[in-house]
Amino acid sequence: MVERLIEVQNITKSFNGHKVINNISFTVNKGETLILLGKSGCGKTTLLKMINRLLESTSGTITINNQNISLENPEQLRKNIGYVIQNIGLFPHYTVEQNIEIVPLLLKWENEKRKKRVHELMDLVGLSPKDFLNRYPHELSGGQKQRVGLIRALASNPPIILLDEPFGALDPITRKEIQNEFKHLEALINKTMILVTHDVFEAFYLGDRICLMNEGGVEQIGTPQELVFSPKSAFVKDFFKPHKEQLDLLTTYFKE
Amino acid sequence: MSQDFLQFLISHKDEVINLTLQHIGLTMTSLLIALIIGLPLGMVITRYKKLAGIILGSVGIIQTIPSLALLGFLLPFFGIGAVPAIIALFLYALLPIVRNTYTGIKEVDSSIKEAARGMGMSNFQILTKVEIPLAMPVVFSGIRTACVINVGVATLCALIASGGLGEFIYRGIALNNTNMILAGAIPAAFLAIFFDFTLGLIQKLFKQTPKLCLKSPLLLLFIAVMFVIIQSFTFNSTHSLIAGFVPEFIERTDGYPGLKRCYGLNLKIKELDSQLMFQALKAKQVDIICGYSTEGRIKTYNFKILEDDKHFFPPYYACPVINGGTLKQYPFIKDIFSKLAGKITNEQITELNYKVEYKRQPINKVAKDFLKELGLRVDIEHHGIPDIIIGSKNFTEQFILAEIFAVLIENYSDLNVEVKKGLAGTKICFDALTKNEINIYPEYTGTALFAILKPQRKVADSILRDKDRLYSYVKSESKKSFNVEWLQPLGFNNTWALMMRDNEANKLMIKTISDLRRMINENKL
Repeated sequence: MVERLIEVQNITKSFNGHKVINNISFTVNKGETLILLGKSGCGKTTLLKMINRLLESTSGTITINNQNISLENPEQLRKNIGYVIQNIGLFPHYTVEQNIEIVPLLLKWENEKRKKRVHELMDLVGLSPKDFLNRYPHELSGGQKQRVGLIRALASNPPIILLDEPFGALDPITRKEIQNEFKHLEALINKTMILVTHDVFEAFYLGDRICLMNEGGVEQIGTPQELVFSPKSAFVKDFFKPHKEQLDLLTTYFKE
Repeated sequence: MSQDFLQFLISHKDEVINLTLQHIGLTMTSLLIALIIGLPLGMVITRYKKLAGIILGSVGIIQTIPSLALLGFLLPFFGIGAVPAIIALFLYALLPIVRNTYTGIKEVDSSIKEAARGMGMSNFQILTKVEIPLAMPVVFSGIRTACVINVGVATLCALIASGGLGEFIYRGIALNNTNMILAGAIPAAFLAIFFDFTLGLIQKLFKQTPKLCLKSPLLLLFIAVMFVIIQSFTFNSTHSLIAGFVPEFIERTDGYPGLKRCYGLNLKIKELDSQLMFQALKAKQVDIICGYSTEGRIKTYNFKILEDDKHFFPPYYACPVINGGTLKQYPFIKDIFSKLAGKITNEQITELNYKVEYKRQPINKVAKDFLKELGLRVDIEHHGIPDIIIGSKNFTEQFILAEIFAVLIENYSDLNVEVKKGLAGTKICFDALTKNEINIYPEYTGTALFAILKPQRKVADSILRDKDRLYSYVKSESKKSFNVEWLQPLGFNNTWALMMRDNEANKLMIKTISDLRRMINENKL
């Protein structure tokens, strides 16, 4: 039985009278990874940010676990949603350890519990605590920063994680490597994730369902196979045309 | 040379220490106030864009106001002394502190702020845990800049009797005593370096142990408290009479030191700038000043000149003095100036001063009107590269005389004249004259004797009482030693005059300087 965790209903967002998101509705199921896919300016980041209220919608409702998020304290809301951005935004004046334990500290976890969690997470992504605990972000490589950014978002074990082009700042080789780790990361198995990207292959590789967006609206939501083999509009068909052959291969391979 | 300087420092040891402490107090107190107001202000305006524009613009404008103008503006409201000085210093420290705080916080990487918000940090938490720590280097550099600016501007504040190392500098300039100037300037420079270095250390400390940063405002507070205590020791009881004198008067032998000796007068003194002393007397910030007897403002402010009953003050007959070489080149200048010889009386020059200062008539008009009254030509004006430069000291009478000289020369010769006004002191004027940077300026016989020629006491005493003998001596010595020629006296005697507020003098029944001394001794004022 698929449980609906996040429900977006008739969401519209305008900036200075200009509509950026136009009456969007969809649901996100518990434990699934939904990809918001589209080209630059289609509104995918704006939509993502309305889920943790970094941006407020102009009209419409968003509920999580059947609770209207606009009724909740935004800071409290965000402490229970992981957030990973492209530039990561590690605090340069905090060590790796201090960066990771930010949210647990905000949630007032006990010292021991925090430290244990940090060690756990670092082991998970292959950053040995002995070497990396007290390093500063400027002493890390791009890939290492990315991993720290990710486990920072996981630190308080939030059920939902939002990711905005999380691998965009990495070089292609590292990116492939981390996408691979990401897909197989144990800690993410039961998480509900919404990931924004413009990379079609990333979307197909990591997503359970894809929400293809265009100019503030949703063109189609469905599994990767549905989008490639049963496109609902000319836009959808044209969008995947350049990569059709490779995508055919991918989707067939992952058809379970 | 440096031996002399060290000698000077040692012999004036107490005063050096005292002035340095005052200087530290002024700087630290104003810095502390600037931090208390400027840091939060800088933080607040990062949140309100419109306010940011207004505030940053305002503190920027304050910075462009010349220090002396600002002090003069504060005078009627806050008087003289440490208070207006600290206010002025605080205002000057604001720009670097507010602007750097604002910039430091604004420049924090937006991704970091976004990540912090996304994690659920409140605005206050973002400010304290992210923005402030990351803005620290820029904020600190602003504080260091403000500190160094303050040490510098504090030297200016000596002109409104705030104390500090500036006193040595101004007195040294008036006396052309290099050691005294250095005794003020070198410790001040050293203070600036020392503060900058110390703040640098504190900045490092901040970085390593952020909790320690709470202690440094306490240190500043401590110093500010010390300063207040020091001030209160030098603070006069409210009933004493206070004298405000310009640096030159305090140091010249024909000034306060001689007056003190002749009358047995012992006054509590504050050092003041000549432009501010009239306001200070009027505003009751001081009770006695020493101005010039031809001062126009005496009439307007209701001041009374105390009679020099012992005839201490020497004669100061005004004459044009000219560079020897210039006179040789244009010998007809002597004839031109003979038209003025003896033609300006005390009453007349006082009236001219009055017209400029009180009636606010333009100097050029006043000069021309006067010459017209003498039946002289005034209409011709020359333009072009100046052949003659006329200098003047930094007060109204000198401006007027210089203008009269200029109009005269241009109307009775083909020479082009330029006037360079406002040279700050006798020595500076005279040096410029001997170096031919200026060709002519108005000087006074007594001043030349005491400030330039400085003969031995015996010689001085023998010629002082006779104005003609004084003139002959000054004329021959200037020619001999400096190749400077004295033309004929203009006629008036602008001697020093001790002045008090008219009603105050009447109330205390003081008419002469001896009366003043008696009053002070009898009533222990």
